Amino acid sequence: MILQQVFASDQIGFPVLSLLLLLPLLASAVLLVLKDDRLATKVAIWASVAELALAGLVWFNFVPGSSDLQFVEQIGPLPGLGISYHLGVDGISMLFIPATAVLSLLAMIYADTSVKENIRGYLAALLAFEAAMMGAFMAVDLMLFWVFFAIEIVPSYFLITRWGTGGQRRAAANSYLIHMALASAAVLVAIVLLATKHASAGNSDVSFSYIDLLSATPPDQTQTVIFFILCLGFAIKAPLFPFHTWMPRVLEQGPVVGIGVFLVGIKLGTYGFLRFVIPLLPDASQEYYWLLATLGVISMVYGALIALVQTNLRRVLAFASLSHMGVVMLGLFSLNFQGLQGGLLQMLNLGITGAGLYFIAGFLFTRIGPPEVTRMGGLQAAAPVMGLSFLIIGLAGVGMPGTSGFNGEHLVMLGAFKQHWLMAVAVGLGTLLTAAYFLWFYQRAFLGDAAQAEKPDRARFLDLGRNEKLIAATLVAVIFWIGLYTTPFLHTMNGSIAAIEARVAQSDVPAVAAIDSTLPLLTLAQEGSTP
Amino acid sequence: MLDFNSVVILIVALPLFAALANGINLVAGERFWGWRRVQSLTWMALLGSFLGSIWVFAQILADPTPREVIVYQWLSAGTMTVDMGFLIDALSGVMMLVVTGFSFLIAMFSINYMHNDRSFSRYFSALALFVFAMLVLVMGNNYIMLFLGWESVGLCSYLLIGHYYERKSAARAGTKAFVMNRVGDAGFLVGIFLIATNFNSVAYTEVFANLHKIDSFTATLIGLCLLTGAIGKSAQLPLGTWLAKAMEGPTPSSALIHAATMVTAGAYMIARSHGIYDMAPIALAVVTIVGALTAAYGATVGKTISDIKGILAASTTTQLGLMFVACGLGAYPVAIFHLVAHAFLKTFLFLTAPSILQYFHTFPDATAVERRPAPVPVVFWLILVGSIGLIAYPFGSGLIGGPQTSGLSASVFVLAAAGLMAAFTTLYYAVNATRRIFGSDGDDHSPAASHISDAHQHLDQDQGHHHDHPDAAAVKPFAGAPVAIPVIAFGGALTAGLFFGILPGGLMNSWFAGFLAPVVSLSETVASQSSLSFLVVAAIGLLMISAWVAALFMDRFRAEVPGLGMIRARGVYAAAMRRFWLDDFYHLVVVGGAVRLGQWLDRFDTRFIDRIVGAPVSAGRIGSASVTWERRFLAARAAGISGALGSIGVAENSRPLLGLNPESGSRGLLPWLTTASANSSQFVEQNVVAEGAGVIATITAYASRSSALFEKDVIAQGQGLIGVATDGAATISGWVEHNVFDVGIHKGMSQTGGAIGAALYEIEEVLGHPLVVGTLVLIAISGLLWGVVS
Repeated sequence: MILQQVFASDQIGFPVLSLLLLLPLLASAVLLVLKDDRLATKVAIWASVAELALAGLVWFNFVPGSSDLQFVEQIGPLPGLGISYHLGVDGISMLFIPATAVLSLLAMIYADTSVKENIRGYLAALLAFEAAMMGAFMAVDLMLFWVFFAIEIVPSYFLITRWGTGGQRRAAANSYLIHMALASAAVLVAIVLLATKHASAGNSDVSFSYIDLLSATPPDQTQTVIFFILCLGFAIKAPLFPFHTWMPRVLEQGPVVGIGVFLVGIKLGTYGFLRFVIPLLPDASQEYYWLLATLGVISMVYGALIALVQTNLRRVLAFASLSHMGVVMLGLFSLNFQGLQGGLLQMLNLGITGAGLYFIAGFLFTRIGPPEVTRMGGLQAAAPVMGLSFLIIGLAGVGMPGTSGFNGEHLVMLGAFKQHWLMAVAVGLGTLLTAAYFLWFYQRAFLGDAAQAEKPDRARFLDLGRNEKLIAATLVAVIFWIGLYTTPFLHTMNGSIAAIEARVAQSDVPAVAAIDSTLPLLTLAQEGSTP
Repeated sequence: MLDFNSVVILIVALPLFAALANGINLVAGERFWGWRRVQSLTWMALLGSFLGSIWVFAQILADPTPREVIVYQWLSAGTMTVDMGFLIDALSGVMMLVVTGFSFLIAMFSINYMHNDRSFSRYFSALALFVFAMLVLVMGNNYIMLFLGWESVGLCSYLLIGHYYERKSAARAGTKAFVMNRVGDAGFLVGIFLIATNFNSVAYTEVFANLHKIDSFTATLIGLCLLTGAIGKSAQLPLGTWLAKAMEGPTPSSALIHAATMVTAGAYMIARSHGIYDMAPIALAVVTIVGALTAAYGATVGKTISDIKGILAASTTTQLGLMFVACGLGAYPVAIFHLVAHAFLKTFLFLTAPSILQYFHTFPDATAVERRPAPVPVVFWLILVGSIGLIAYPFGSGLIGGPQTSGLSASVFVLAAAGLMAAFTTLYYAVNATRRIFGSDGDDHSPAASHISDAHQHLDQDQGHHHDHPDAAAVKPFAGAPVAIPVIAFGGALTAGLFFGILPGGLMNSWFAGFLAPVVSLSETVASQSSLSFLVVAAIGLLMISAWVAALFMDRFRAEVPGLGMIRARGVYAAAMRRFWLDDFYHLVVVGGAVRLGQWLDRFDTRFIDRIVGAPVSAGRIGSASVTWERRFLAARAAGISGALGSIGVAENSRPLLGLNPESGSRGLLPWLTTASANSSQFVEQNVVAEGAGVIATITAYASRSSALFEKDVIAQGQGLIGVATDGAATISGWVEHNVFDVGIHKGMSQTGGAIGAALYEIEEVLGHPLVVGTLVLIAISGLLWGVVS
C-alpha cells in the first residue's frame, strides 16, 4: 500500500493544515495576555468559528473517494532521526477535523455559563487542547503524532484540576495522568520500535514517516510485539476494558463541559487503532483480531450493564462511552470494508451523540448540581426542550434508524457478521442493552413525578437558554444529517477504507517474503502494484 | 395527469411535514400558531395522504405491475447500496390505504377527544410522525427502509404510550414496550444482515429475484430471524406482554397504533417476505405455532381482564395470533385480508370505548362498575354489534370460501374452526364485559345516559369536567350518532364488499386474492406439508377447545363462589390472571437479572479493576488493609527504608526491624546485602503468613457483607427455586470475587509491587552512596580509558 500525496500548494494554495494547527494555539496565547474576560470569550469564540470555517473549507476541497493524503505539508525530515513536520489528511482523518472544530466551538459557547472563575485560563486550555487534537489527527509523521498525543495531556490535566466540579478532582486528575502517561509511553515505545525496524529492514535510515512505514511491513514476530504494545497504549486511551477506570472518575469529577465532551466524543484511541495498528501491522491484526474483538465485546456488554445501574448521568455516560467503544472495536477488527467503514462512522457518530449527552449533563449540572437521578424526575414538564434534545441525541446513540447511530451500527454489524456471527450477535445484544439503560435513565430523570427526595426548585429550573438551544440544535441537526444523508460522509472515507481493506487482505501472503531483506525492491514493487 | 412519483413522495412527505411543523412549533413554545392550526394542519396533511393513496390505489388497479420510486441514495457499503426508495404494488397499495385512511379518521376523532389536553400539540406531532413512519414501513422498497419504518413506529409508539408521562406507570409502560421491541429488533437486524450477505442487496426486487441463491437452511435461518422481529412488533409470545401495558396511551392512539396498524406490521412483513418463507417450511411451522400459542394466550388472558381497554388489547393479541397462523399456513392473502378487517373492527371498538370510559370516568375497571350498574343501552348495542363483527368478520370468510386447494383443504377448514372458537371466546368476554359494565337491565332514563352523546363531541381529559348535567336529562332518541355513523358505514361496507365480491377476502378466486396475486398468493409449499399443518392446526384446535371450555365454565364472578367451577379450570384462570407469569418472569428474572449483574459488575469495577490498574485510592478506602504501591513508596521515602518495610502489611502493627539504619552496622555493600535479605524474609513472614491467617476471618466477614447486600437487592431473597438458585450463584461468585480476585490477585500484586518498590528504593539508596557512586564512576572511566587505549 503506497499512499500518494497531494500537496497543499497544488490543492488549495496555502498551508491550510498548519493554519488549522496554529490558529487555536495563537488564540490560546492571546487569551493569556488579555485582561478582559468578555473580550477573551469573544476572541475564543471567533477563533473557533474561524477554525470551523477552515475545517469546512478543507472538507469542501477534499477529493472524496481517494486514498491519497491531501493538503500535505512537509518540512524535514531531520537527518538521522527521520522525524519531520509532516501534515496531511485522508479519508480516515478528514471527518474528525470538522467534528473537533464543531465540538470545540460549542464548548466555547457554553464556557460563559459553565465556568465561574478564571474563564480566560479555561478557554486558553481548551484552545490548546483543540490544537493538540487537530495536530494529532493531521500528523503523518508518527513521532509528530506522538508529540500531540502526549501534549494533549497537559491542558486536560489542568482542566480537570482547576475547573473540575467534584471534590475528588485531584485524585481523578492523577488517575488520568497516570493512565495517559502509561498510554503515551506504550505508544512511544511502539513507534520507536517501528521506526528502528524500518531501518533494519534494509532501508537506509530510521523513519517515522507513516508513508515509509506502510511500504515496509516488519516481520511477523516483531509485528506481534509492536502490536501488543501499541494496542495497550490505544486501549488505555480509548478506553477499553479493563483499562477504563480513569474515565468515570474524570467525567464525574471533571469540569462541567470542558474536557469531558472530548473524552466522550473524539476518541484518539480508536483513531489510533484504525490509523496505525491495522495498516501498519496487518499480519498481527489479522492474527489477533479476535483478541481485540473480544475486548470489544466485553467492553460493550460490561459497560452497558454497569451503565444500567448508575444513578449519576455523568457516570452513565462514562460507561456508555466504554460500551460504545466496544462497538467501534468490533467494527474495526472485523477487518473488512463494511466493518472498517462502520467503525469509523460510528466513531464520528458517537463523538456527536456522546458529546451531546455530556453537554446536556452539563446543562443539568448548572441547574441542579451533580446530575443524580434522585435530584431529577419529571423534568420533561419543567424543561420540554431539554428533554426532547436528550431523547433525540440518546436515541441516536441507541441506533434509531434515521439518526446517525443507525448507519454506523448497521455497518458495524454487517462487517462483524462477515467476520464471525457471534460478533454480530454481540452487537445486537449491545444495542438492546443500550436502549435499556438509556431509556431507563430517561424515564427516571425526565418522566414521571418529580423526585421525592430532593425536589428541584421549579422556579429556578428553566428550560434551555439561547446558547444551550443553539448547542442542542446544532448537534441534533448533525445527527439527522448523518442519519438521513450518509452518502457524502461515506464517500469521504471510502477511498482510504478500501486501501486499508486491501492491505489487510493482502497480508494473507506469508510474511516470510517481507523478512527477506535481500529483495526489498521486489517487495515494494509487489505492494505498490495493489491498489 | 398527475406524476406518479411525485404523488408517492407527497403521500409520505405530507405527514412528515405536519409532524415537523407542529414539532417545531411545539419546541418554540407554540409561538407560531395555536391548537387550531395544529389540528387542521394534521388532519389536512393526513387527508392529503389518504387521497393520494386512493389515487395510487386506482393506478394499481389499472396496472398492477410493481413500480419503484427512488428518491436518493441513502448509503453505500462496499458494492451494496441502499436507497431511500418506495415500492408500490398491490400489497403496499392496500397497506397505504389502511394506514392513511384509519389515521385520518382517528386524527379527526382525536380533535375532539384530545381537546383541552395539555399536550395537544405533542400528541398531534407524534401522530403525524407515526403515519409517516408507518408509510415508510409499508412503502419502502428494501429491508433497511422497512427497518427504518419499523423502528420509527416503535419510537412513536413509545412517545404515545408515554403521552401522560407524569404518570409513572405510563412512562414505565413506554420504556417496556420499546425495550421489548428492541429484543425482537436485534433478531430482525441479524435477519437483514443474513439477507445482505447472501444476496449482496436488501432491495425486495433483487432479493426475491435471486431466491435460488440460497438453500433451504439459509432461508429457514433468515425466516426465523425476521420472525423474531415480527414477534416483538406484533406482540406475539413470548414478547407480547408489552401490548397490554401499551394501553396507558390515549385511546385514539391505542386504536391506531396498538390495534389497527403498527402491531400488524409483523404480518405484513411475513407476507412481504413470503418468497423466503415459502422456501422454509420449518420457519413457517414456527410462525404457525407462535401464532397459535399467542391466540390461545390472548383468549385466555382476555377472560380474566376487567378493564375495557385491556380486554380489547387481549382480543388484539388473539387476532394477531390468528394472522400469524394464517401466514404460517401459507395463506398470506387471508392474513392480509384479516389485517384489513381487523383494522376496521378494532378502530371501531376502540373509538367506542372512550364513551364508556368517559361515562365511568373514575372507574376504568369494569368490576368496580359492576357494583353500581349504569344503563347505557345505546352503547351496549354498539358494543354488541362490534362483538358480533369480531366473530363474524375474519374467519367466517374462511368458511364461506370453503376448501378450494388440495393442500390447504384440511388446514383452512380446521383453521376456520379454530378461528371460530377463538372468536367465540372473544365474544364471550366482550359480551361479558358489556354485561358487567351495563348490568342486565336497561334503564334509559338516567341523566348520565344522555351525556355520552355530549361526551363524544366534547371528550376531554380535563378533570374539572363534570358529568352530572341535570339539564341534559332529556334523552335524545339517537344519542350515539357519532358512533353510529361509522357503524352504518361499516355495515354498508360489509354489504358492498359482499356485493362486489371483495368478500370473502383472501381465499382462492376471491377478488382480494386476485388483486394481491401479482405480489403474494397462497403458498404451494403448504400442499406438501399438509400433514404438518394438519398436526399444527389440530394442536391449535385442542388449545382452542380448552380455551372454549374454560370460557364456558369459568365466570369471573362465580369463580369466587365456593363449590362452583372446576378446580383445574381455576388453575388456568389463576394463571391467566397473572398472564401466565410472563411479566413476572421478565421483571424478576430478565430485568432483575440484568440490574443485579450490572450492580455486581459495578462493584467489581470499583473493587477489582480499579485496584489492579492502580488508580489512586479514594478517601473511603484508605483505611482498608490494601494500600497501593504508590502510597507505600511515598511513605517509604518519608520514613526511611526501615519504616517502609515496617509499614508494608499491617501498618499499625509495624515493629522496628533490622532496617538499614544509617547508624547500624557498617556501610559497605556486603553488610547491606545481609540485612536486606534478613529484611525481606521477615517481610515475607510477616505479610504472607499474617494474611493467610486472616483468610478465614475475611471469608466470614465477606459472607455476612454479601448477604446483607443481597437482602436489599432488587429481588427479595430466595423467592422460589430461581430466587434461591440465583442467590446461591451470586454468593458463590461473590466469594470467588473476593477471595480470588480481591485478596489473591489484588493483594498479591500490591504486595509484590511493594516489595519491588522497596527493593528498588534500596538499590537507589545504595547507588546514592558516595562510595558506590565513586566506585561506579571509577569503573566507568577506567573502562572507557581501556577502550580508548586498546
